[in-house]
Amino acid sequence: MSRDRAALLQGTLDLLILKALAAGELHGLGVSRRIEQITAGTFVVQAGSLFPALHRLEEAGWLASTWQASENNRRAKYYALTRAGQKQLGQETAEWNRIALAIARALEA
Amino acid sequence: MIVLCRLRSLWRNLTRRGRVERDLDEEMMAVFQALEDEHVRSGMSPGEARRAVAVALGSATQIKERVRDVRAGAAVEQVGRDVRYAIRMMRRDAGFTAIAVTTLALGIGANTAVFSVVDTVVFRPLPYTDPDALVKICGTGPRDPACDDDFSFAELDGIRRQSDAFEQIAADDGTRANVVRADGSRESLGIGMVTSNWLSTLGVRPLLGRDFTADEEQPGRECVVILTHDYWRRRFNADAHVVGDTLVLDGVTHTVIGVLPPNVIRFYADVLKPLVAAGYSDRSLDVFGRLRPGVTLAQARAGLDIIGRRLEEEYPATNKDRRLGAEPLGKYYVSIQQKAEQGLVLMLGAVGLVLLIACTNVANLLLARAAVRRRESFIRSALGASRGRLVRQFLIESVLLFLVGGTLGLIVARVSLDSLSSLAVSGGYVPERMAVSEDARVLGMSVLVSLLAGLAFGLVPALQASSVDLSAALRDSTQTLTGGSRRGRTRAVLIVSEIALSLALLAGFGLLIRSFDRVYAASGGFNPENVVVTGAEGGRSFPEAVAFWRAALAHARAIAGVTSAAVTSRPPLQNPRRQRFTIDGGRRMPADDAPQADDILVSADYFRTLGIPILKGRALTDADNERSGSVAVISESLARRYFQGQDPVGRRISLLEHAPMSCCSAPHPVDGVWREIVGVAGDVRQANMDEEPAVTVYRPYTQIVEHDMYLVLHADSGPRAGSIAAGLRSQLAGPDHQSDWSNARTMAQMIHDSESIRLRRFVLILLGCFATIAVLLAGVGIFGVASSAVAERTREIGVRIALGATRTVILRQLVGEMMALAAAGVALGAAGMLVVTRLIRSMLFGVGAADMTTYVAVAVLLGAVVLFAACLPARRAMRIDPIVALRSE
Repeated sequence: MSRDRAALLQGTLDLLILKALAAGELHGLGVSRRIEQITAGTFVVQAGSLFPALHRLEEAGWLASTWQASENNRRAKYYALTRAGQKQLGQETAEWNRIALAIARALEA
Repeated sequence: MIVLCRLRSLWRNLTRRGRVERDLDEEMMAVFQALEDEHVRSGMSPGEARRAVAVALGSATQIKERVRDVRAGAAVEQVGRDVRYAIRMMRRDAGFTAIAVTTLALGIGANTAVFSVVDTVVFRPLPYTDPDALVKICGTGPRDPACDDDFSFAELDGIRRQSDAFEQIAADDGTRANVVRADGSRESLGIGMVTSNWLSTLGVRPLLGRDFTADEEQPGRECVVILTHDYWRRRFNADAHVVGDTLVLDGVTHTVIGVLPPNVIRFYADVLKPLVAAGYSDRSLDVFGRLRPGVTLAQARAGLDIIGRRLEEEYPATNKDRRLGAEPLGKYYVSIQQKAEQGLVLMLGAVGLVLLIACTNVANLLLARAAVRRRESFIRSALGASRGRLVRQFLIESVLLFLVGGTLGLIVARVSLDSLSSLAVSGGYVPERMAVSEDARVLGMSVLVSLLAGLAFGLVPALQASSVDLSAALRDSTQTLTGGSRRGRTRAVLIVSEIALSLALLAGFGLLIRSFDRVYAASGGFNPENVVVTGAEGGRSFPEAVAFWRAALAHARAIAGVTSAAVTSRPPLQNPRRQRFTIDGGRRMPADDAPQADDILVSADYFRTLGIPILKGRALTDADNERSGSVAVISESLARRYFQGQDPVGRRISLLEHAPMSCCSAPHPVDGVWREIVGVAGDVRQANMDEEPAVTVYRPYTQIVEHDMYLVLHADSGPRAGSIAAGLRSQLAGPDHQSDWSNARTMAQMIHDSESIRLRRFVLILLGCFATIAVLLAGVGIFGVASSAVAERTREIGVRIALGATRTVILRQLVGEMMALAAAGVALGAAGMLVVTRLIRSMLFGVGAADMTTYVAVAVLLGAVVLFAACLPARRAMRIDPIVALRSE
C-alpha cells in the first residue's frame, strides 16, 4: 500500500472498525479479517495500527471488551459495539456519505 | 460522554497500571497463539508457524508500545518514566550529581536564608490588622522641626477628647525594671507601659491569655504583665501554661496575663504593663491611633492641627508654638536604620550573584555531560524517539537536579538561619527581639527559583545533548581535532561570566576588608586602650547628682589598677545631644539659626583618661565647679571654624538650648550663661568612627548635670582593664545601692560593638562567605571545563605527542587556554566590579571605590585558583600515552 493510501486509512480506520463490529462481537484478528472481507481486500489493517485503534475506541467508550473462549477453545479478547459506538457509527457513516457524495459530484463536474 | 470515558480510562491506566499491562500482554499472547494455531492446523511445522506469525504481525513489543502511546495518560506515564530514568542516571553519575547538587544547595540555601532575613525586616508586613490605618501622632516644637513624640498625659487626654478622626488612640512609654530570678541572678527588663487599648488599636490579639482591661489602668490594679513573644521564648521556654505565673519586677509581684504574638514589639520592651495615668508625670509618651474608615491622613492632620492650637491656649507654659501632626506608623516600633536596610537589600543582590554563579556552574557541568551523552541520543533517536522527547528527557533530568539541590538548600537555609539572624541582629540589621523565620512565601520562592533555574539553565545543554544532526555531529567531531567547537564556545562563555561574577564579589569583599581595617585603625581622636566605661541613671536633682558622681569618682579612683577616672555625659561612640550656641563678639543670630555643637559634660580628668590632647589653653580641673566661674573647653574644629584663626582661649561662648532633661520635670532653660573658653581639645569622632568629627563644647559636669552619665576609667594594663570591667558593677554598688549601674565594658569592646563596625562586620562576614563560595565554584567550573577538554581531545593530544610535541608544550597549551578564559573573565569582571563597588560605596571607608591594589589582589587570587584548577586535568593530559589514545577510537 502506498503512503497516500495509508494516510487515507488513518481517517477511515475508526469507521471501518465500528462497521466491522456492527454485525456482532469479534476478537482482534477477527476485526482485521472482517475489514479485509467487507472491503474486498482493499484494506489490510496491520496489527500495529489495529490494536492501538481498538484500545483508543474502547477508551472513548464506543467499544467494550470481554474475555471469552474462542472457536478453538482458547481465551481471546472480544470487542463489541456499545450503544455509544452504534450512535457514533451512524454519525460517521452519515458524515462519510455526505463527503463521498460531495467528492463524487465534484469529480463528475 | 467521551470526556468522562477518557477520564475513567485515565484513572484506570494510572492506578491499575499492572492490571492494564497484564491484560495487554494476555491479549497479544492470545492473538499470536491463535494465528500460530491456525497455521499449524493448515499443516505448518510449529517453527514455520511462529516465523509466519512474526512476519504477519511484527513484534509484539512494538505493538504494545504503540498501544501504550495512544492510551489515556500516556504523556503522564512517559514523564514518570523519564523521571525514573533521570534518577537512575543521577545515581550512576554520582560524582557529577554530588558536585551539582552541592553547588545548588549552597546557592539556593544561601539565597533562602538571606531572603528570609530581608523578607522579615523589609518586605513582610507587620502582624497588625490593616496597618495602613495606623498613624503616629507627633508634636513639633519651634526648635525641633522633626516629628517629635513626647506627649504628656494631659495632651493625650486632650487629643482623645477632641479628635474624631480616630477609632482609637493609644500611647506608651518605656522604662526598665529589675527581675531577681530564682537562682538569684538579676536581670534588667525593658518595660513597655501601654494604655489598655494598645493591643486593640494595633489590631492584635494576645497569642495566649488575654488583653489588658480598662480598669487595669487604675492605680493599684496595674500589677499585671503581658510577655512579648521573644521574652516568653527566651525566659519561659515558650511554656504554654505561663498565664497565671508571677514575675517580680523591682520587688513587686506581677501576674502574667498573656503572651504577645511574634514580632509585636515596642522598641526594647520585654514585657508590657498597663500605663497608669495617675503615676505618670513625664512628657515622653509615644502616641498613635487607628484612623476611622474613610478618614485620610490629610484630614487627620488638619484635625490635629486645630487640637494643637487649642492645647496651646490651654497650656501656654508648655505648649507655646507646639503643633500637632501625624505620620504613617509604618514600621515605627521595629524600624532599623536606613543604612541597614540598604545593606540588607545589597546582601540580597550579592547572594543572588552567588546563585547565578552556582547555576552557571551547573549549566557548565550539564554541557560537559551533554557532550558525553550524545551517543545515547543517537541511539534513542534511531529507535524512534523524537527530538522533543529527548529534550524533555534532558530537561527533566536538570529540573530534578535543581529540585534536589533546592530541597537540600532549604535544609542548608534552616541550619544557617539561626546563626545568620543572630549575626544580623548583632549587626543592627534586624531589630532586637524580632523573630526571623522562613514563611510559605520564602519556601515557595525557593521552589520556584529552583524550578525556573532548572528549566532555564537546562535548556541549552538539553538542546545540545539532543542535537542528533548527523552531518553537524561529524563536522563537530572533526573540529574537535583542531580545537574549539560550538559547544566548547558555549562553555567558554559560561566560564568567563562565572569568573567575572566571582571577581566582582571578591572585589567587593576586598574593598570591605580594607575599609573595615581602616575603620578599626582610624584614630577616633582618643586612645581606647585600657579604658573601661560604665553608665548609671541619674534620677536625682542637681546637688545630689553632683554628690553622687563625686562619690563614684572617688570610689573608682580607689580601685586597684585605675590610673585615672572621669565622668562624662557621653563617652565616645555614644550619640551626644546637640545644642545651639553663640560666640561672644560673633555675629548675633536668631536662636533658630545659630550653629549647633555636640554638648558633652565632663569631669576634670576626662581628657587625660581618654588621651584626648589639649591643644591650647588648659583642660578642665576640679577647681572648675559649681562655685567657680562658668567655663568650657571647645574642640579644635569648633575653634577652626568659628574663630577664623583667632585664639579662642579667653573668649566666651554660650549654649542656648534647654537644660538637659532632669528626671520627671519639664525642660527649662537654665543655661544661656556666658562661659569662658579655657582650652581647645583635639577632635574626637564622637558618634561613629567613620564620621567626620563634629564641633564639640565640653562643660564641667559640676556646673550642670544630665540624666544619664557615664564613668570612664583608665587602667594600667589591658588585662587589668578586663578584670576591672568584670567586677566594676559590684565594686560601685557602694555609693548608691538604688542606682542601677550598667554592665561595664572596655572601650575596645565598645568599638567592636559600635555601629560603624557592626554594620560592616555583618556585610563583611556575609560577603566573605559568598566570595569564598563563588571562588570555589569558579575553581570547580574551570576544573570541569579543563577536564572535559582533555577528555574530548585525548586523540588530538595523542597524535601530537606521537608527532613529537613535548609534554611541556601540551601542558603549557592547555593551561594557557584556561588562563586565556580567566583573563577574559577578569577583564569582563572589571566592569562588574565597577557596578558592585558603586553599590557598596556607602560601606567603604578610607578606600576609593576604584582601589587598584584591591583589584589587582583579587585578580591575582582568582588567577591562582584558575591556574590550580586547570593544572590538575592538564597534568593528566601530559601523561596521555599516544598508543592507548589512538587505539581507543
